[in-house]
Amino acid sequence: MSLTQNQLALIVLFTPLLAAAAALIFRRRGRLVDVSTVLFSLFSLLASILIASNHQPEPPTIFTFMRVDFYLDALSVYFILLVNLVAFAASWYTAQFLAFDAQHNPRHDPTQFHLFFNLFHFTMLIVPMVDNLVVLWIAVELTTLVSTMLVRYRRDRPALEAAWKYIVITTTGIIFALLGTLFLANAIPQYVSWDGDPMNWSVLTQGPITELDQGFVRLSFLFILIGYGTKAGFAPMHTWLPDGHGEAPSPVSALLSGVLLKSALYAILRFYTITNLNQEGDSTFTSSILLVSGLLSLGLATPFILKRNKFKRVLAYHSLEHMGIITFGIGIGGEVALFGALLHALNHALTKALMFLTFGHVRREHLKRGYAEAQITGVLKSMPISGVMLAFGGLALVGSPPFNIFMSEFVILWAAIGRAIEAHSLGYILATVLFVVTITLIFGGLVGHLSRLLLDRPPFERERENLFRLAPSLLLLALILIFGLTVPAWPIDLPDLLKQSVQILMGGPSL
Amino acid sequence: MDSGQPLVGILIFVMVIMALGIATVRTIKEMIQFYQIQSLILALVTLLTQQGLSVFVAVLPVGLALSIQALLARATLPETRRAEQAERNLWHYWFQTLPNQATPIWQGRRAARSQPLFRLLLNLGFTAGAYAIAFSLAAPQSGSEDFAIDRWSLAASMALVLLGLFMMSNKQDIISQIMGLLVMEHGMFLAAIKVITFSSLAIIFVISLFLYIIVTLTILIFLLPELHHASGSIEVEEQKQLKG
Repeated sequence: MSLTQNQLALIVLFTPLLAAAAALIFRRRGRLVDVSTVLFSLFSLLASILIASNHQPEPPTIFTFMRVDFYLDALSVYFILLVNLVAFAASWYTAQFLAFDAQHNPRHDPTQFHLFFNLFHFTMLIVPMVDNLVVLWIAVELTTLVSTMLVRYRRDRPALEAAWKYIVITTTGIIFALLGTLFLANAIPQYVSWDGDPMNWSVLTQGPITELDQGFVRLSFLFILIGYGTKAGFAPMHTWLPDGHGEAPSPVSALLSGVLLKSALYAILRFYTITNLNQEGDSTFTSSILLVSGLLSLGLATPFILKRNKFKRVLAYHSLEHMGIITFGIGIGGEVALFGALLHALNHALTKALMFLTFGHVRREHLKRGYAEAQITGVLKSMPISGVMLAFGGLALVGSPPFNIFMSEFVILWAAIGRAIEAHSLGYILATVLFVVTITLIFGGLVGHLSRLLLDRPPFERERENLFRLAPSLLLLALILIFGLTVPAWPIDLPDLLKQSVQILMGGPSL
Repeated sequence: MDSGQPLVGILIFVMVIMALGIATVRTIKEMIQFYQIQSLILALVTLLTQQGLSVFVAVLPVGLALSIQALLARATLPETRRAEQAERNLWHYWFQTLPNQATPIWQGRRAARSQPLFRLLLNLGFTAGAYAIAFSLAAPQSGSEDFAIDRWSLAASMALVLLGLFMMSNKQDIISQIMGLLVMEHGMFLAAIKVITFSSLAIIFVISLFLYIIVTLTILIFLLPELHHASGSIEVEEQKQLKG
């Protein structure tokens, strides 16, 4: 018996919710809860791989469950895969984190951690699956609520301060996203009959979208960019990002950086298409503000990456940089740049997850031996496997060949140069130059941090590492290397999925 | 008034004046009192505006108006949890003892960094800006009446959001910052019940407000007291350990 796409989608969505329930039911059996979180994440990942491999470009999967409209097209499927890949890798490390936490945190509470971890996974899966734009907002806000509990988990002063800043800044920002959604609702003319709820993305983009009030739609996009941009970590609303990523437990940092930022990006992408279709295919408005936003993020990230800082904070500023690169790519527009931007979203998620998870493992091993985070040096000598993963991950992060991020950055740069030549515009030339200058400076900055971390004299002798404990990081590293050489077409035809996603971004659903 | 309901229009205008009051007054105690009045007016606007769901929806601002003192007092006073556990009459403790204990702290503090007159002028500027933007946005469209929206309410909503945002950036303590967030929330609430042209959409926007209030309650019930306990202060400056 083969499962339909609808059934698979429900399995993908509700498996993490089952894991959350298991965390509550079996709260006295910690080991069982550890295993169930990993297993349910794996089930969800496998189901999403099945969805992606069965995915047909037409028609998109639309269904209603518990009065919520679900919608799966190539773009949703791509983001579901992204969420589940990182969530599975992060889930593997939850047991290691909790074992360490049990000995070092007087407020150790594994049930709470597993509960919110799985709920966070669940809420991030809702985002790319829902059709209605107000429900999309609700889903994004739910991710804030649940992830705040994870950032605050240690409940010491830095964790509480980080959680406070995170929830206050993102909640303030998200008000603008709700206002933006409301402006879009007000742009919909009442004299037009819609084939369903006009706040459903599928209905809106297939209906007479050019009839919407263009002024309100543009204003809506601006508010959406500020609102969801705050959540996506765009400058200058990024100030929660280094604190949140830096103070959260490492598996949570991996989810925040690898997935949460992309969930907010996904919401922006849906409004990007609506706005461009409403402006009769003219993307000048959206492109120009996205270009400025992307360059601002890149520019602001650079000095913070160059200065000496805690490594997790450096990684957080790298998220700002990479969100800037993705936004820059979307701002450049066109098939090639959008392809590069979407690919970069996945590449960044994989690489950042590898870095946060591996560094978390290294940090725990040092803290166990009584060494503070500032004393972590010479990891290549003391923990060679982790050291190699950090070295390769770091090189990937700065866009060095032959790793994945080089590939997507190159595609975006290629498209930017093409656009600059085609448009004969000084603005595009300057933007491209600024793009190259900032990523070059950042390259130097991270290499400096990595050399201290990896090459100096280690505080303890060589440690024999357990490969099983590092298995998902090794898998992530393998993916990073593969994506540096090619975009694989097996077991999922990713190039096709990406091309379809680009078509959706440029022209809406193809029905 | 676009809405054709003069009373509702006046009430909405009073809400903006209350927001100006919250943003301008000297002490936290006064801020809370203005906020409670604003919440009750919002509930009244909801009852006069919404059909069917009005009582259900109006419960939200009324609930916040009634509980805000106790919630903020709990965040203002350190070590309330132990006293809570020992207390037999929790209702009396929450609504009498806690606010009474917190009131001297609220009255003895300056809530904002800048001078009241400067704040008032700045906030009046924000309000005027919000009205100007809303009126230019909601100008009557040529050929059709269908785009016309309640521009007075839109302007008031935008003014509340802007004033709330300013409060969050200007206030000296985390209690007053949260008041800014709550004022922004009132702006969104007003927009959801008064500005939406599709009546069927209003319901889903109101549902989203429920969630927003849950987030606010999470901050008030969990984060604020814990943060105060951990840092020993409600000063914003004391919550800046994480830098760089």
